[in-house]
Amino acid sequence: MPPREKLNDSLILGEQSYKTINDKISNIVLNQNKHGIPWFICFVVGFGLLQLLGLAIMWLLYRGIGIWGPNNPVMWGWDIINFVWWIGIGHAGTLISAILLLLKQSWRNSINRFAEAMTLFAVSCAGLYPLLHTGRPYLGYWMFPYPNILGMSPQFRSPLLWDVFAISTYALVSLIFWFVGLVPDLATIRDRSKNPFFRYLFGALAMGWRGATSHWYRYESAYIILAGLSTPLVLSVHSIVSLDFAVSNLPGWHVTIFPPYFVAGAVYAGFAMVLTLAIPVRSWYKLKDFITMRHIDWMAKVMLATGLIVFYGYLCEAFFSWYSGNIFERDMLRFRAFGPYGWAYWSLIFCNGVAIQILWFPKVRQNLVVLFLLSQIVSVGMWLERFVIISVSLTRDFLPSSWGYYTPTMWDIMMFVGTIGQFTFLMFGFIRVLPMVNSFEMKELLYRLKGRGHHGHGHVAHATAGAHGDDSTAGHPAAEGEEN
Amino acid sequence: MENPQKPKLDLAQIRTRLAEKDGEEMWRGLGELAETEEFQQFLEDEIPLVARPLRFNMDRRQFLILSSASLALAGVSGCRFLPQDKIVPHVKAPEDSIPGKALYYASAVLFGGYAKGVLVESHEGRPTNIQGNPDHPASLGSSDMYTQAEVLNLYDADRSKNVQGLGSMGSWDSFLTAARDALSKQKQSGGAGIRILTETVTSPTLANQIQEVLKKNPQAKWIQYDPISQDNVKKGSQLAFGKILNTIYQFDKADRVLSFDSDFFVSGPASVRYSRDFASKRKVTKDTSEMNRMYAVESTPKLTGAMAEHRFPARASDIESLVFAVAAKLGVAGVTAPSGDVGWLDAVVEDLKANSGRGIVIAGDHLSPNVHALVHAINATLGNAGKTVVYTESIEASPTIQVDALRELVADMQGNKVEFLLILGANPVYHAPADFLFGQVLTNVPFAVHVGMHYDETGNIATWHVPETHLLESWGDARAFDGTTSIIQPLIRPIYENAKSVLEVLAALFVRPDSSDDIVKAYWQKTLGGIGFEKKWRKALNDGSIAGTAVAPILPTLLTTGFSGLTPPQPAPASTDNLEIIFAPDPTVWDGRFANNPWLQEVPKPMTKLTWDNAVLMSFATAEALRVQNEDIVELELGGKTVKGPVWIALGHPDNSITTHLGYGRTQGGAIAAGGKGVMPVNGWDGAGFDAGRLRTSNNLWFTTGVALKKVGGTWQIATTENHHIVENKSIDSQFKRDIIRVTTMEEYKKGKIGAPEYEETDKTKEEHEAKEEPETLYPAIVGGPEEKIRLTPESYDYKEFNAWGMVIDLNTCTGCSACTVACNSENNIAVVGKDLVMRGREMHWIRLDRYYKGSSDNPQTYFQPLGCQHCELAPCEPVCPVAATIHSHDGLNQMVYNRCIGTKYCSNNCPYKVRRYNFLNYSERWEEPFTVMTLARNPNVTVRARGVMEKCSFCVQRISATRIEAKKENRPIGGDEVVTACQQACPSNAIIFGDLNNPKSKVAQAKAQPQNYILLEELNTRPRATYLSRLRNPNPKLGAGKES
Repeated sequence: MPPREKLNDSLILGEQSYKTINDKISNIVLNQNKHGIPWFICFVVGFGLLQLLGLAIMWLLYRGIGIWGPNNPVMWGWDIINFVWWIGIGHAGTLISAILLLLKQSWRNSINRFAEAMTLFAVSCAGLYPLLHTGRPYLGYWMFPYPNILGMSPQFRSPLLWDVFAISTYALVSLIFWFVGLVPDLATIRDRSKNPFFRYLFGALAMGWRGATSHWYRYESAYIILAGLSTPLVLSVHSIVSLDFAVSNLPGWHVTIFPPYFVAGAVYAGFAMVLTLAIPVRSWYKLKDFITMRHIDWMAKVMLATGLIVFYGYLCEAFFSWYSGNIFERDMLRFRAFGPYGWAYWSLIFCNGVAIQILWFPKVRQNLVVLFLLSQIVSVGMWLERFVIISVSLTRDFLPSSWGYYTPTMWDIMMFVGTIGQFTFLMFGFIRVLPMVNSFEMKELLYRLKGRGHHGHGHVAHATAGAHGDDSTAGHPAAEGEEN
Repeated sequence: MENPQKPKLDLAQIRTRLAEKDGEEMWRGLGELAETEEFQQFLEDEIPLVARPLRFNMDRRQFLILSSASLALAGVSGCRFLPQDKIVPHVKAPEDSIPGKALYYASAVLFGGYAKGVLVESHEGRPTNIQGNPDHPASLGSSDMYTQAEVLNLYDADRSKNVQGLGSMGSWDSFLTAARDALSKQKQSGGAGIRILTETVTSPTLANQIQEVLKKNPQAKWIQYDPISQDNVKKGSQLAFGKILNTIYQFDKADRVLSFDSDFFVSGPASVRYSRDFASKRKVTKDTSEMNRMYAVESTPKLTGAMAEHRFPARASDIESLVFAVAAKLGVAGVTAPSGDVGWLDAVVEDLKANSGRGIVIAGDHLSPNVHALVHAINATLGNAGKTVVYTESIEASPTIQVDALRELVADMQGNKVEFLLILGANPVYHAPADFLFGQVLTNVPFAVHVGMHYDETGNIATWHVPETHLLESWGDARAFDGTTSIIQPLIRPIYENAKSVLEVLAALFVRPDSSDDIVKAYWQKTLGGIGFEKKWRKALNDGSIAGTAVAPILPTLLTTGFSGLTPPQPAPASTDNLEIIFAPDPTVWDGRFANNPWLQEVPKPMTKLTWDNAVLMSFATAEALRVQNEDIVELELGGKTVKGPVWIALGHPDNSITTHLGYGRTQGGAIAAGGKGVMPVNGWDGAGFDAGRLRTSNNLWFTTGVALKKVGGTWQIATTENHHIVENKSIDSQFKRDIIRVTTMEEYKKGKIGAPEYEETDKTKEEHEAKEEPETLYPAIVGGPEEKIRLTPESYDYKEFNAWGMVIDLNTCTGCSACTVACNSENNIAVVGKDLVMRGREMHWIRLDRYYKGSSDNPQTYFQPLGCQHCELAPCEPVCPVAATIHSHDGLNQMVYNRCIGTKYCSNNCPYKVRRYNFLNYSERWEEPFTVMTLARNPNVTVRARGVMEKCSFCVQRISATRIEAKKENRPIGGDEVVTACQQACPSNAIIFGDLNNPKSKVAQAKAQPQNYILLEELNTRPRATYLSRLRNPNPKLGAGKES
């Protein structure tokens, strides 16, 4: 098969030993001089935009959400659009770490750590919106069932309440999952660090990890349980977010296909974001040996597959609007495509339906520039999808007398740009202080690729598509012990 | 060192002045108190803030004097509104005053000088709400938007607060001294230099007072001028009858109405009564299925045409020849028919003839005297006179042709014959015809006094300005359209204590200072006679009118000589080069007198749905021909004068004609009224329209041709509440596919069709339908059927145990006048958001008047649909609220718990009727200025909503609760019709019916039993408590189904 040959058919490249893996990954944290100008630029820009977010939130709290664009028919605008967009982006991380783990996909090893971090940071951005978009955010705790003298409980029929539980669970499980996965690597850094501050810091974070067999045994059990817990969350969170809309009676929202189609869209957007981050970072930090073209290729394929599901969703929506014979549904479709927001709909179709078709070509999947740009297009497309569903549907519903139009204000935009800043700031902060590639899993992978029992150094490990996952129950190579 | 330029401040003088001021009034400095020359100079100074530091040249001693005086006196100035009385509890409570319980007083509000009887609600001495007086013939318990908004005029923060002389602060005493001085010079000449200018006066007391002044000063003159005058009506009456008579139309007896551009539903002193009477002929039930029929010829789209079965657009200048044609067809003696033929005329005339004695022909006040004379003749010929059209002697105290009187006054002023001009309540500088240049000639008058509620355009130029009291602050009287006289009684002491009523000013100047109470009472004591007067007086105050004051109808003889010389006017060529311009009073701010009233600015104008602005209205075809679009700024030129305004397309406007509404473009008279400074900045926000009156001259007060329209570039954004930025002319009646407004004709109604969309079932589809097996489904077989009720209603609650509140809105009688919206504003403390937020779709009205068109864009049928919360039994808003802030009450109200709301806004998204309103910003409480006088207008029984909270129509739950409490006290059930909502109470056409659905005798239950009762968006199965009665049309079969023309 020509494509396979052209591809770097490997999950780890170069002359690698456990030591080189350790060095390459840990040194990003240990040797702080390694962070060059790209890191500095990204971090500073992120930090700057984060200040903008602070400003936007302060003014919002002072003046009220009237500073945003929503109006009478369109009560939800950029706030909810961005909320759904960020939540969607988070999904790739959980999918990679949990579902691919359960499916024993070894190629997840090099990308899972920062994909998970991405999840957390995306959720932290998303989490701002549901609270801040309420008119009285200081009463947000009323959404939680807590004993109170009002004798009131939340109203459990509301999808917004389901959201509260779905997202808080998701954020919590993701955080624990991520941290548990970090512990062995934190111990590695603790052990390799010469800086006393780092030794204390990572010593505390490593929680006494010594690499004992009992530790590994418990670690593996905990990790697989957490993976099992996360797996339904991948599907549930965005399904529930989609129910915010599907439960309503609004044409354009009241669509039963939403849960699966939202999940597919989330994974799709998430992989686009992983690619957006992975492509520059692997080059800046010389991680091309770990995040190989093979990884990139597979991620592009996942993107294509989920993108096609999403596009199928659009077709279904359009078909059923027409097939229903209901004038409100039919008009909704007509306005969406040919109304004042037609540009948004057709841009969306281009981004998510047309542009990704180039991923069928292997050459495209290897062209990092094109892939990087395409990832941006997908991110924009998924944002437009939420815009078309959420706000455009609201502009024209049942009674023509209340039809309206929606435009965001400067503060909507500032808030969104601010969350991008927060995300960038956290992401590059993470890259600097924590190992962004899972080094012990890479060592394990190396061990398996080299074949059980071989303890040589400097071997080039050639993995094949079928080489991984034959026995993940095999004992760990006690990587720590070897180094110390 | 003594400062030579500066006289020493006289502290003793300051103290006495402060004592006079009673601590309520704000003063700006000691100079003001001392009334030093320097301060006068300072006020006159063009740039006072720059000038001040240069001028205040004080030394140490003066500084110390000043600072110690300010320290000592700073505390004297108290709060603006609270009288500086000692607070002690009532030793003996005032009669009837129970804290928390509202009192109602009968009074009257004025419109065009005429009275409309009202009941004013007062909470602890604070008037909060005005409703119609059921015992008053001009109201019958209903009201209009102007009446409703009058309470806010009382609490207008921009009202004039001080006497001003020559642009500086004066006092009442200094005014009196100066005025008496000026008057004394008039003694020798018998008052030859004295002129009194008022608006139309029906008040017997005021008229009597003025007559007495005229008696004392035989050379003095009294001029009345209203910008929206009835001059043409009066002249028409003179032509027809030889004298000015008052015409009363009895729509409750009329089966056929032909309106020539009349706006009788909303303008004129009897509009409320006419709406009520007209509606009584349209209350169709399955038992009494008869209804009136109206034809309307219209130059501007009006509510009349929206209600009419047949509407014929015609340029205002072409209407006269139509009236001639009708008159000629009916055989009015001496009338020659105009050339040309109008298609619909024969059928209409025939119909009127067939219903002779049961029809009304009515003409708009602005049409020419000839038209009015002819209409009198037509009504006489049809036998309507004396039956449906009743004549009485004029109600006005001294009926005159006002524009002629004003012209004479202006000539006198120009000739320097006027030395003492007293302007009582009028604002002629703004609203006098432009060719009179009133503002310029006013400067010729050495002593001009303006008495008005605002320091407006006239007050600014007049030598003296005296603040006028509001009619809720002083005594007065006025007569209604049928002569019924009401006493206007005050409910509150003047908020700004320098304010004087017109009666008081006149008395102080010409007789002796007196309170309005004594003046009015003394007059009536003289008129009604001393025996038993107190009893009669009490009864008049209680009833709101003086018994037996309605004038008796007369049957005047038509002077046929009046018509013999009349010839129909030559039709003016109609093209875009010869545009016609119509000047009409604005539907909400009228002639500008309500321009500073935010409720009336924000309530959408019934036909155009514009707020906060006026516009150049034109038809679609004319706009296309002129290549202009909505919001394009155009320059209108007429007689050398120009004015700029934005274009707005009014569907149904006749071609080659434009309408401009008066009342905007004010330069003085309040922050809202004068928001635009009379100049339209391009793409700016601070708009208050343009002043069309600048083109209005005394010879062309109402309409004229030959206006030049030129696009000048730029747009002016207009805040409209309907279809923000959307003009979809092509699908003008696509909404009818949505089954929102149901319309049917009387003919079909009698056959049992009620306007529901028809489902054509052929034999084939029927067979298929029946042959189909019912699939297994979770959904109930019949939506809303009994099977489903069990399934969907929680715990099968059927609301039978308590009351079940419901509402029916009769689209067949709703004229679209929007009185309900303003009434709701007043009752429910609804916030005003301003133009920019209306543009962003954030208006807060709980009940809105949706407007739909059907038919062609050049003459569409217009339909109105009042829409408040529908109070769905299966409300979509309720399940989506995460904190249970919107819930259902035991009696079926969908309730909004403001305190629980956190503002997720999901409820509004899920509301198919989009009736929920959100407090995006802090509308009700301003942190910067927490206590404004406007807050006094609030209803204490309704929560003021905070920022971030959703709100909506509550079916006036506070009124339901009040009634429930009364009923419980009396240990009886609540009557079926006992609760009256604010919108229902205001509605002049009885279109809103509210009550208990569990009570089969209630009006609402009976209305729901009508076949034409329908549910809006029924297929969504929300089961609303508010339903609608189909709109019915009763078209003339000879003119088609009312769809053409």
